[in-house]
Amino acid sequence: MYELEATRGGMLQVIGTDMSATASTPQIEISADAALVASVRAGDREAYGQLYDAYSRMVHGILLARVPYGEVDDLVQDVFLSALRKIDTLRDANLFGPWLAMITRNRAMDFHRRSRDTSELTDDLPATNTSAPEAEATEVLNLIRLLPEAYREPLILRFVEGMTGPEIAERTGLAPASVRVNIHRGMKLLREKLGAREVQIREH
Amino acid sequence: MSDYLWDKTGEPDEDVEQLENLLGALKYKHRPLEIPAATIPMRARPAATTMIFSRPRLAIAASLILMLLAGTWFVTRQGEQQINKLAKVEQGSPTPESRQPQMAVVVKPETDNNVPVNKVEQLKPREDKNNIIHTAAPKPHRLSRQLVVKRQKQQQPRVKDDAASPQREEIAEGREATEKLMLALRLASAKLNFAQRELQEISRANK
Repeated sequence: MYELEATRGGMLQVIGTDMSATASTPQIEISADAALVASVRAGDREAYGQLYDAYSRMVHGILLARVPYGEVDDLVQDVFLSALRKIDTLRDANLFGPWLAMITRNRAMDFHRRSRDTSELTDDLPATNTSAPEAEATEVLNLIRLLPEAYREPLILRFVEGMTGPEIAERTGLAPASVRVNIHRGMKLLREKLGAREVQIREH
Repeated sequence: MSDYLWDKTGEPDEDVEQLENLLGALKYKHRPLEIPAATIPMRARPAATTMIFSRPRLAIAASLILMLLAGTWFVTRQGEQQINKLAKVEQGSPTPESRQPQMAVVVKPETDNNVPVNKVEQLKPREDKNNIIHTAAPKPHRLSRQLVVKRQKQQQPRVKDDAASPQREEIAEGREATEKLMLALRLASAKLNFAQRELQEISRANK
């Protein structure tokens, strides 16, 4: 007999309760995501709903760093459906987050490839029917998009989605140290850009 | 050491807080995931064996087996036919003694005329392309004799050909068999192409 026990870092521990097996059975660590992935593979849709709740902000943030704001919501759904179709191809269920992040980045690239075939879309276009604060937010978002690619994603996840640095690292599978560096360097560059923008506004 | 930008602990920076408030307006507005029931097959992960025996692989294997079977069938069938025909020929063909006079009749052709051979050759040029006499300069006696000998030699194999007609039939049958085999191979390769295309389509759909 085995029991699943949640640990601090969102990991589940399989602990042997059978007395005869305790001495020799090693403790196997399974992440909560892996357990959910296993349930999804067995046909549990609610488990996929839980994964969606946990990762939708990350997917939204990654897309926002690459795709026009108005398109992002639909693409989030697309990404999750696509991941569901491909879930059998995920080798290590513990790495669901990084795998989903990769699917999301590829989907964003696909979006640009397809839109290039049909019509030119510029990221600078503000979303239609937006309120004043939303329009200002879109302007700042466009400034973030001008930053190097490595800084865009962590900054958007931090400021737009409200995720903390450690959370970003855990969800995307990136090293915490590099996420930290990227957030700080990105913030420095963003401050410079915001300062230049304020100067421009004052001059006008 | 507290670092608000990193983990939201400690004193918040003013500009960081402003950015959080401003950009927070664009954050993800949760909406339920709509999974179309018909399009998403929720199934358990296929076992390694089912991955090995996937549809396109099975199609390729089946076409290869078909090709092999068709090949063996044609070969055995042709072999049987040849044996049957040879048996028939042996049963129905006359004995060598009875064949001899027939051959003699065919062998004796134009030399039966009373006209000397050299004159015949000179007077009646033939339309046969293989015969050199028509183009050669008239060097009557010696040359025409040589040619008569040649012609006789040429005619002898014809008689042999008549005797070897079963062999010709066998060759023709062999050709027919190879044509059929080629046809079977072409069919098999078409099937392989079809299977390959199907495999590509499936891989594209999976992407």
